[in-house]
Amino acid sequence: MPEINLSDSRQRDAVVKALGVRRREQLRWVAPDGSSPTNHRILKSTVDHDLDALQSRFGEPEAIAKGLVESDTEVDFERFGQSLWFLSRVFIDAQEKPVFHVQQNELLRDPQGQILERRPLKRAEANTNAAVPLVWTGKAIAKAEAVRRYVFSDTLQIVHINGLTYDFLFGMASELAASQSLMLIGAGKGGRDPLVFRRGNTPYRGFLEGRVRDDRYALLLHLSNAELKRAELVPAAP
Amino acid sequence: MARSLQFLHASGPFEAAILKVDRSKLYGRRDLETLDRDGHPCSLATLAADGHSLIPVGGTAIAHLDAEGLWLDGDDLKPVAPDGTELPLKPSSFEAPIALDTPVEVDHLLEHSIRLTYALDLLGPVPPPLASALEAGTIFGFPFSWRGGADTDPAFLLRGEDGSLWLLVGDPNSIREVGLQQAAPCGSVAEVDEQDVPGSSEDPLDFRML
Repeated sequence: MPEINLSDSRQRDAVVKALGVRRREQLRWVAPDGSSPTNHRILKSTVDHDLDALQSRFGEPEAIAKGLVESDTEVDFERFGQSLWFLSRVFIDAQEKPVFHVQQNELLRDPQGQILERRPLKRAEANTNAAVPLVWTGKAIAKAEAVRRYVFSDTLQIVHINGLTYDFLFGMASELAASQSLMLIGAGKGGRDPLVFRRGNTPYRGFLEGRVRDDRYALLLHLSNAELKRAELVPAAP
Repeated sequence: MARSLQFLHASGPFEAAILKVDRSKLYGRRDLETLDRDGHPCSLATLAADGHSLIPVGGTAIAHLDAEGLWLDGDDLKPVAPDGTELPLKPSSFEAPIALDTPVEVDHLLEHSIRLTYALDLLGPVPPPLASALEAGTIFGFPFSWRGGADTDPAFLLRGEDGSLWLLVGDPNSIREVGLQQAAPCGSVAEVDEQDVPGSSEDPLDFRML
């Protein structure tokens, strides 16, 4: 449950909690006898049995086919099918050997896939629980308008951690509920930066929504990184 | 070729092709290039716990095992609801017209995280009463399934700000109002600078910079 440092319309701020609210799949799968199966990750193949390895051993596709039929070379009967655990991700070179020193670049491509820029990878730092709180930008958008302009791909529910932050968040939710609007919030000085919850993660625009019923509230942070817009209507990047 | 969906409203049917629109088609994308010390490209693989078995992409699978550790064929498994009742299989949304008979509130749409976004390319006229309702801001909700199966996803039809019709497919969110007694575990409080004020001449809603 991540913490976020959030301010209200009066520039008062507090560290509160953000809950993921996406509901998991409601169905489950059972065996014909009604029992619940367990899922295991198993080994299907290794790099020394993949197509590259077979090509270097047999050469032409016809020879590979003949080799597969005659010797089952693509299968290691001792290992394939065994359960896997403690897996690690590694980089390998063209010879399928692990590489220990790498440099990473990011390639920026336009919507047609053309490379616009190649630059050393720079991971965006997390900024939602930084010393500078997330701030209201003052840009309020009516809910009915917002759902027609932006794709909200995730939502977090902001919750209090004590009585003081209950009052803080309840007041914020009440103010937003009365406006029937979403408030754009931002990170960094002046709230100009998008929200990054973990280093290197996707940056999002954040929109706060408030709902209130009696002495209960729901303060929702809707996240979006795309507009509801057809591709041909988006102007080219400057 | 884009697949098409049929919609059925009280005022009549219409048909539209669906075109998936995602962030990369709107703003481009950012790819990661990994090079070794000599500048040659590298790819990702998985290293097994034995420390020497390298597994290529697609080299693992998920197996379903019964209580005795015996293999279960995925086709033999049956979907059930949380209470154990068997769920009937539902047809694909492409096989029959989708009924537009359930208008939903904006708040209901906001209770979903949108996973897939499709622009609709009309293959015929939208019945005028339906077009008027969409223009006035009506949002229709319905269950959607691409391939058919036990589960469906909540989906919405609405008119975007640009005048296009959109099909949004999402996941429901569990949102409940909280009271004073439902406090989350306590966390640390950071020192903050209250002098920073929001507002800038830059457009805070430029999605290309994300």
